[in-house]
Amino acid sequence: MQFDGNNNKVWKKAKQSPLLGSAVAFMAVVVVMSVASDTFLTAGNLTNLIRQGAVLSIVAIGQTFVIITGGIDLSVAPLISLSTVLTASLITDHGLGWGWAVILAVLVCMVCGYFNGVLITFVNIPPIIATLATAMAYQGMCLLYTKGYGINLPSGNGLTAFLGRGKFLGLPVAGYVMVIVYLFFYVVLKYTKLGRVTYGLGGNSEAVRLSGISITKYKMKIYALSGMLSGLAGVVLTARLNGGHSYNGEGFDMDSIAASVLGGVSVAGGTGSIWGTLFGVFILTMITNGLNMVNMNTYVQMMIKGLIIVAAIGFGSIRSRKK
Amino acid sequence: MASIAEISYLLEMVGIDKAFPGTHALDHVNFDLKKGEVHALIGQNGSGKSTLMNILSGTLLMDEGKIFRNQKAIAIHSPVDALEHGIAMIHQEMRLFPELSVAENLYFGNYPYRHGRIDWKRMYTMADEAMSMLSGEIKGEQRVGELSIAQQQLVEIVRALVKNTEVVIMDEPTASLTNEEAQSLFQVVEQVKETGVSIIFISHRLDEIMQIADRITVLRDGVLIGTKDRNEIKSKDELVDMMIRIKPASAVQHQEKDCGPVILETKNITYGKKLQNVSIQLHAGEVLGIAGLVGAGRTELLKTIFGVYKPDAGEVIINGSSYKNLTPQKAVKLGIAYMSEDRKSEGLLLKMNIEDNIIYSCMDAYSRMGILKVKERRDTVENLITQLRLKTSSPKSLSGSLSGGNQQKVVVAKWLAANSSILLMDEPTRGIDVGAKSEIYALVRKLADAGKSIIFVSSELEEVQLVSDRILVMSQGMVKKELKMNASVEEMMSYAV
Repeated sequence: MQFDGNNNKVWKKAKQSPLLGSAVAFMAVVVVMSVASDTFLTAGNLTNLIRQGAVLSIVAIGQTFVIITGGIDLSVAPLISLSTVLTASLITDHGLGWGWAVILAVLVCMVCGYFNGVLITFVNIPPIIATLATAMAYQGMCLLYTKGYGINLPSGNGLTAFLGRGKFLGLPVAGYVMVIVYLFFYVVLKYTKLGRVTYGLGGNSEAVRLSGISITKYKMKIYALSGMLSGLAGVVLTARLNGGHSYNGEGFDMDSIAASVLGGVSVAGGTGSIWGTLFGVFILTMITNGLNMVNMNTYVQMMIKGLIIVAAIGFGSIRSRKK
Repeated sequence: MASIAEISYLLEMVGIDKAFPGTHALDHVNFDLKKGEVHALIGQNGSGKSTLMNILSGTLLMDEGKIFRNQKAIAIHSPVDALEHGIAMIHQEMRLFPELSVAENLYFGNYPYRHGRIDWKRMYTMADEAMSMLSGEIKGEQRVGELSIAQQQLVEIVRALVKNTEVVIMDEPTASLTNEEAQSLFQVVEQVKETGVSIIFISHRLDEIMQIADRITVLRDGVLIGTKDRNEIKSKDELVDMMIRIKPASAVQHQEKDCGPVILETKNITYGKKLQNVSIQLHAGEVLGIAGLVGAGRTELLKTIFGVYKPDAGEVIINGSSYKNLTPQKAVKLGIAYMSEDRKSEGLLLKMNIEDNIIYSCMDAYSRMGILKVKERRDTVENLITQLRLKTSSPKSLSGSLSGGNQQKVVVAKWLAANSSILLMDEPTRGIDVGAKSEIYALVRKLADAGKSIIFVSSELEEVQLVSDRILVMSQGMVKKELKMNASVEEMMSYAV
């Protein structure tokens, strides 16, 4: 009896957690995909999934932070592109070591994110408008810099060899990067002032201000963080694709929002978790991967993805209405 | 002698049961309402009265129970269902559109049309007529935002009445009214009652319940304690006995004491028309009561000291240094705490747990290299929970799930954790039941004895008198009078109006 009671409590607690829904959806997709395709559960495809998911997973962390504050960042896609272009160009055209190239590219993206934050706080432009406008500007920067051409990395370069193709204990290095970044930002969100203020801003920013905390400072930090993570995601993408292009980041804006929401982050702000987002990332990645394997038409794929995003946000809204 | 069958109730709620995670909010409660009566519903915070009324008005669904209207079972799943059954709730927080006219607020969604277009002229006439039932002063064309809180309440009541409502639920309608406004509200309640409409009146103020109720129902911890006719009850102490388990110490005794040096001072602060040349002094270990009516400038004064508002002129002097450009950030660093009169929108993070809320203003002190020290945080929080007798199942409970009194304790705990030395308390007992109020009074005195300096703002003059070492009376943005402790309520009132 005692055991039953405890079990019940655990179950009740689990049921209230938004993570459960994402985990169930994740498992469902795994099952459906492995039934639908013989090659889905092969080692080769799993490696592939991790490589594909790593980029989205990193940018989605920044998006999760931003959405928890009640905002949104639509500029992540061109920032990823900018990062791929800068990383590739710094290595190929300027002969920089890949370590320096990565640091510079990530820094530039962080500054761009910071600029978003300035517009949102000091100029007081709503996040959706501010980042929509800067997205256009950052896209223009990419195109101006590359004149529209792609930049390939030299063959045998270190970045591709290590981060793109490299493996450690049989798993892609990009996967380890992803895990480290997730562990790091799990701690940031749960055990630091920045993380706690992130939740507070989305829940009740006036109460945050009256607690003696600068809303402006933290919002700018969070948008800079999103820019920085876009930059890092761009680096991983550059390594995977062995080069940079002005449109490489296309689609990561909606995908990162979708991953966050699929993972239980409320678009109203104030709730969400980083592990949920990771589930969301792989739900989306697996669906894309699976649809590719069954040779689904790309346009139909877009429609399906769009509908998944609508469904995810819809479920989220229904859940919060019930509360 | 009327047999039971002859008593016909307009509404009956039978065996209403509702559980939330961690609390059994209502335990098979019965409640009934006769036509044309004022039925008061009272109980401490967390007793379940709001839950019961939220079920009746369709904002919450019950787990078990039945609702009958004229002996017929009805189902209420939403506020729309409730309105169809003639039940309207007037919430503590007004639900009016401040930017729209009185007329549009009254007929929102039910506009009179002419040739397929909204007939504004007729709508204004209809509104004038409807408002004149209760007050001739308010016109249909006026913007609601221009009206006083009391007038807005009349608009809310009329809005319920124009929908052919049979039952009006009023949740703490006098909470933000002055005594006079409250008295005129009671006349309105009488008028409404005479038209055959029934009123359910939720309030913490027992005096006013004794004045206007026909019957009184008391809830405690989700259980029905009893329903009595007003005439059966001899004094309000009888009600207090029903509401509480242990009788609280009614008075906080304190002696006149020598307070320390001045630690906070304002000099000639002017802020728009809200504050004019306000100069006050607060001594160490002193409770400075600020009495006055709503709108006297008390909140503005506290918010100016806390750096929320920038004064047009004047200075704030803290520990001997003058500050002209304070922000809440600087104020907190200087050891000032502001406890808003509006807990829900300015005080608490409702979606976050108690622990997060309590530690929110002092996260730096609880971090090592940027990372929160989990154990130290938990120790402090649990200490404060015990010290303030905060009733919760766990420090991880969401602060939004707590009752008003416990939410206020979370706010107090937050500033104690931050080690603030100057506490600005704005209506700290608003919406809090009798028992929890005495606890807050005792706490205020204890804090002052421990060396904290406190400004205690309240519209309830009795409590200002009870806790203060010195009293300032404010009116129309000015300090009208300084009084010694134990000044009579009548004397305070004479300067406040």
